[in-house]
This record gives sequence, structure tokens and C-alpha cells, in this order.
Amino acid sequence: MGIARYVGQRLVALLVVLTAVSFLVFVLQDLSPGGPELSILGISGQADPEAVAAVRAKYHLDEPLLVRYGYWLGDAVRLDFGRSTNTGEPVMTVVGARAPDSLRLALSAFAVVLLVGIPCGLLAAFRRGRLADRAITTTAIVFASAPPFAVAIVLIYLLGVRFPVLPPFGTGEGLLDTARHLVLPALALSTGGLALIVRQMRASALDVRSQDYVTFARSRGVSRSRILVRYLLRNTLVPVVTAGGLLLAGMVSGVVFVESVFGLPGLGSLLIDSITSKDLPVVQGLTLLTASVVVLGSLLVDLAALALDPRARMTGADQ
Amino acid sequence: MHATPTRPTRRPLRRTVRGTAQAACLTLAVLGLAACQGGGDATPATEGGTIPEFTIASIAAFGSLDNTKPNAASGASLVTEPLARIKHDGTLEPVLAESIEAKADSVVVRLREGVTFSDGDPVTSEDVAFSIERSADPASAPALAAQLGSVGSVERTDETTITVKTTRPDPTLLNSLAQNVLVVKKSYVEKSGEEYGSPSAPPIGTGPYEVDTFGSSKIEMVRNADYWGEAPDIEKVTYTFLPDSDTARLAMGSGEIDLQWVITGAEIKRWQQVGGANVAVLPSTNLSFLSLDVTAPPFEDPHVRQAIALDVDRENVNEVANGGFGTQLQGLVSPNQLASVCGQQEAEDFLASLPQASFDPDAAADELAASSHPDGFSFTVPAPPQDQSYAQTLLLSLQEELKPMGVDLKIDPLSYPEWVQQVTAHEDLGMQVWTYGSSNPDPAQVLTMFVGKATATAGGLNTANYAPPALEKSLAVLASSFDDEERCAAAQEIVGAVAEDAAYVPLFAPNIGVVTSDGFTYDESAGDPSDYSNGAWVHHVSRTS
Repeated sequence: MGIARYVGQRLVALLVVLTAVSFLVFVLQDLSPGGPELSILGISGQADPEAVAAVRAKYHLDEPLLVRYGYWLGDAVRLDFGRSTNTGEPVMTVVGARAPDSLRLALSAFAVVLLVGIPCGLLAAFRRGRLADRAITTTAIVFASAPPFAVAIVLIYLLGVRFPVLPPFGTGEGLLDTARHLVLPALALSTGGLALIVRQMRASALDVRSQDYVTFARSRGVSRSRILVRYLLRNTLVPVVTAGGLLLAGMVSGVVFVESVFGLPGLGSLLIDSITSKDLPVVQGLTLLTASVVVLGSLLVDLAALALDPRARMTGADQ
Repeated sequence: MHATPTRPTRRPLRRTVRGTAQAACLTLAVLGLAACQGGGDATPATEGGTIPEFTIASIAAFGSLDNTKPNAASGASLVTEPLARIKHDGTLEPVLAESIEAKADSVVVRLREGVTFSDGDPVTSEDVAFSIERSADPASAPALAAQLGSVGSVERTDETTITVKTTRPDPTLLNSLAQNVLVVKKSYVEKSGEEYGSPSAPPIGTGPYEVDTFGSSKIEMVRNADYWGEAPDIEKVTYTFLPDSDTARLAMGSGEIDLQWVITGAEIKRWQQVGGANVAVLPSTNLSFLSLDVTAPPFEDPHVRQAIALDVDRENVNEVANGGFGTQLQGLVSPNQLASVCGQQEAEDFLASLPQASFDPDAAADELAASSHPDGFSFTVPAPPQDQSYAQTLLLSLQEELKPMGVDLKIDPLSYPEWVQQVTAHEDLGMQVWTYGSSNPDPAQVLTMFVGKATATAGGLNTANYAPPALEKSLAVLASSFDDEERCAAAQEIVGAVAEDAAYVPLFAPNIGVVTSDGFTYDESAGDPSDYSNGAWVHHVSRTS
């Protein structure tokens, strides 16, 4: 019962966030100069006032801001996000065509972060002060400071050209080929997240390891692997899972750079193109999608934290 | 009873953790090894001139293969063909049309006989008429329709003849039709509706290639076995999405892409450094120039304008901004644009005879001293960003050159939409820095756009507000006469007046670089800047070995 209400509240909050964000983005696009007529007609087309007027009338561009937002909102609640001013295709189709690439990339990067970051963080904690810890911590700092597109170019050069073991760009076809093409982009995208998770995991593991119940369990003769899994892992993961929520927001922006450098036609490059060509319906559609992903992702993360830590569940149910 | 002290717990715990970490590293290694299989793709050599596979890079992601849609994907012209191709020097090469004849009131197109679409159906005059109409319709093709404004009605005179009636005499319409209309299959387009050109309804055309796969990152085309013309050497063409030029260079170095069309002079130099790459340099159709507003201070004073013109260090700016890849412009038109109405020799002679403002700071100082602002003045220039990198270099150079004369040039960096907005608002124009892409080799387009009272208003591009009444007659002749001699004289009069009055300061025409990977070359002598958009490029690629 408590959980259902909790989730319900969060979903209502999602709707509020979506409305606020969509309005904000709409206003920002309006404030920036120019409109889709420049992209549609080109500069010499601006000299033809009839053509410009025709485009502006087609997209209701001369009406007041609130009226235009009203049109958009009225359609959006019926899940009609309009058509792209660039291709004429429905926004859902355009976004849907490009979403799988971004999704695959984000999930791969996420997997790398978890599968590499968690063990490395634990390793650093247990080898604290030793070479392994120093190496891992320094690497994490380097990754945290290096921007994803810089890392991307270095990776392409080293592993795609200098020692050509992996394809330097593109998406590939077929399951195995696509996986090969995802390795470098996923690595480039994961660096920021890796840094975060490694550091978080290390701090969390050090904290838990020094707890009385762990010492007590060791002294009682509980087996090492059982301590690791039942005591350590579950308790160290709670702050890490919460940090994972931050990871999502960071990845959304990193995706844009990485997709551009690797020539992946995903949502990141779609966003850049539609903003520069002032393709308003697509920008609004992408904004909603991004906001939903971040909010729902945070919700999932919080539910996972609840699942891991019964103490949080109790306080949650009280609300 | 003593409890036996247990073994120290540190080692086993570490061992377990280490084990987990090692397992993770091992997994990565295995994945890496799996990835190791098959490195870069090398194009295998085969007999004769046949090229089994060829990959060309594209900066824009692929929206539509329908060229009436804005931001349509390149490659449409390999599938659906134009009626004719116009080279940058004005020569017309018939493609689907056997002949195109331009007259004062109409353009008559004769369709080549015996041509079929790739699905076997014959091409008829109905398809051609439909293609022209939909390209000239502002509702369906806003960008193309702006170029085809003089198209009135399109009639099928017989099975192979189409007559386009014009609303006014337009000598440039022939070029515009050739450059903007691709012949589509009427029944298929009508059936597909809005979806035509998208992956769910890829174009069916008469061209040398058919669409094989159409994804958002890649378009693959295979040779059309029933193509009416000479079959190109390349069996499979792949357009691949690659927006980042650094990645593209790395990709070419490793053989992943075979051709890149480079339109910025500064970039050509960087591409020359890619291992094994061959660079063919083609003339471009872009014109770089400055405009000076002749109706407002300080540039209303001809001495001030001359001072500016004499203070531009064209050669060095070309070297720095374009890597030396650009020819200096002698007038407000390029030599080939003037040649299309005057002939090559006369065009060259005329342009050479124009008063050339070569870089001469002393003469510039003299001009300023003789002007109404002998002690100098200050002004702000809005500079557009991005591809017009030469603009930043030019303005910084000019800023330095003008300082000793007491002229203070301030640079206002704008985004491209902001820059366009202030140009179309047409107020406080002062000095503007232009790169104008004039793909139409006819000089009428450039000259009527930048000279004359019709475009010296809001929305117009005559940013010098240069509209001497004496030139209106020549502008009208240029825009509506079909007599080359008349048009040549008119063009010369206009270009001469602009040079005399220094309303526009011509800079350079930057080159285009066509970069091919190791093992391929691009035919520099037969190549033309229009090749990329009209599909002729496939015929100009060949193996080196």
C-alpha cells in the first residue's frame, strides 16, 4: 500500500516536471533568434517575403507565445507531437527511429560502469593505501576530469587507427557487428560514470567494512564469500545506487558528444540538428523524452534503494 | 574452553574481491579478443576498373531521399536523375532530357526515349511534368520553389515533350530546372504520400543506382542493372553518417571511408595530411566579399570605401583562412559566371581590366586623409561563425591594418541565425562579411541579388544598399533578356560600376577539396563542384593501381 502510494506520488510529480520543462524549453527556443524558415528556405529564400510568410503561417509562428504553447500542449496531451519541420515525418517516428542507437549505447555504458566500477571500487577499498588502490583512484580522477569527446578521440586513434582492433565509427549490422561497434563509444561514455561509481563504492565499502556487525560476523566464523555477498555488497550498494541516479543525468549530456564523434545517428545528434534548424516539434518531443527518462530513472533508482535497505522501506511507508 | 582463533580473515576476503575484479577484467579481455577478429575493412582489388564497394561520408544524418524536403539526404540524385547537369562554367550536359530549349515565354523539354524506372515501368512526359510541378510548388517544396519562381504552367505537349510556360522571361530558369528538379515516378509518389522519400518508401528512379538499405546512419545503393546510360564502375555505394571531421580523417586513414567532400579551404590542408589520401582540388562556386553600406556614414563616402578596399590583405588571409586554397576574386562575379554570358576570353580580359584594390596601406591612408573622416572613426562588424572561419581571420587582420589610421574596428560575433536576422532586418548595415554560395553559373542570380533597388529593402540581401538608377536598366536586361551579347554588356556594366564605387570589396572564391582514400583518385579535370549534388561524382572516381 505504501509503495503504491509512493509510486503514485512520484508519477504525479513526473507530470508536473514534464509540463514545467516543456514550457521552459518552448520559451527558450522562442527567445533565440530565427525560426524554421531559415532552415527550410535557406538564406536566399529570405528575400522572398511570400515564401517566408507561407512558412510562418503553416507553423503558426506569428501568434503569441502562449497561444502557440497552447496548441502544442493541446496536441501533446493526446500524444500527438506533431511533425518534424525538416522531414515532415511524425515526431514519434523520427525519435523512434533514432532511439534504439542511443538506448543501446546508454545501456552498454551503464553495464561497463557497473561491471567494472563496482569490483574496482571494492578492490580499491580492500587494498587501501596499496598500489592497486592508488592506481584505481588516480585513474578515476583522470576519467572524471577528461571530457567524453576528448576520451572518444583518443580511443578512436589508439584502438581504431593506430592498432586497429575495433571499428572507429558507425553502428554496424547484425548482433555481433553492432556489439563490436558499441565497444569504443560505450567506453568513452562510461568514463565519467566509472569515476563516480569507483569512488563511491570505495568510500562505501570502507565504511561498511569497519562496521561492528562485519567484525562480529568475521569473528563468528561466517564464511568470506557469505560476508561479501550478504553483508558487504548489499549495504555498500545503497549509496552507490543513489549515485546511479546522478549517472543518468550525466549520461544524457555525454551521449550527445559521443554520438557526434562516433557518427552514431542517435537522439544526441538528432537534438543538435533539430535545435540548430529550429525544428521545434522534434526539440519538444526530445525534451519530454529526456525529462521522462531522468525522472523515471530516478524513481527506479529510489525503488531499488528501498528494495536493498529495509529501513528506508519503513520510513517510506509512514509517509 | 578456548575458542580456536580463526585464521586471519583478511587474505580470503581480499582473494574473493580480487577474484571478482579479475573475473571482470577477464570478461573485458574476452570481449576485446572477440572484437579483435576482423580489423578495418579494406576494399578488395578486382579485375578491370570495377570497384565492388565504395563509401562516401556525409556530415548530415539522413532524413529523406526526397529532394523537395528541407535538409534532404545527398545521394537522391543517384537514384532519381535530373533532366540535365550544369557545370560551373555554364555548359549543359543532357541527362534524362535529350534537349532543353529556353525561350522568352517557355522552356521546352524533350524527354529521352526508351528510359525506364528501375521497376521496369517506362518514364513518360507525365512523370516529368509532375516532377517539375511538385518542385515548383511552394507548399510541397518551399526551398526549391524559391528558385523556380518563374514557372507558370507545365503542359505535356506530346508523349516526349513538356512545355513549361513562364510567368515572365527568365534566362536563368533553364539552369534552375536542371539543378533543382529530379524526375520521380508519379504513381509511386502519389501512392506513398507524405512518406515518399523516407525509409518506408524509398525513391524509385531512372538512375544508375537503386536503394538497397536505408537506415539513419547508412544508405546503401546497388547498381541498377537496367540503367539506360553508361554503367559506373562502383557496384555498391554506401553513404555513411559522419559529422565529426576528426573522426572522418581517422576513418579515411584506416580505409573505412573512401571519399569526403571538403568545402572549407582550411580543412583541405588537414586532409592532405591523412596517410595515403589523395586530394583533388576543384573550383568552388562560393564568393567571399565585403559589403559597405553606401547610404549611411561612414561608408557613404567613396574615399572611406576605397581606404577599406586598399587595406584588405587578401593574399595573407587566403593563405591563413583557406590554407591558400582559393582564387582571388577580381569582381563581384567569378570568372566562370561572367564567362557563361561573355565567353571565357572576354570574361577574363574584362575582369583583369577592373580597378583592382590590391593591398596598399599607404594608398589607403591617403584615401582616408582625403575623406570626410580624416582622423578615423569606429564601427562594429557583425561576424558570422562556423564555416565562415575566414571572416574571423579577415576581420582580425583588417582590425590591425586599420588601427594606425585611427579606424577602430570592433567585431561582434553572432550565431548564424542572429546574423541572418540582422541582414534581413536591413538596418545599420555598415560593413557585412559575406560568403555567398552561388551554385547557378548565371551571373544574373548574384548581381540581381546584391545590386539594385529591388533588394535594397528589408528581407533583401543588397547589404551595400547599392542601387544607382543608371544600373536598373542593365539589371532588367540581365534578368529577362535571352540575348547573350546584351546580357554580357549588362553584366559588365554592373560589375564595373560596383568595382568603381567599391560598394562591394571582392575577396576570394575558396576551392573545394575532394579527398579519396589510398587506392582511389578523383578526376580533377573532369570533376565539377556540382558533382556531389547532381550525382556525377560516381563517374569521376577511379582506382590508382
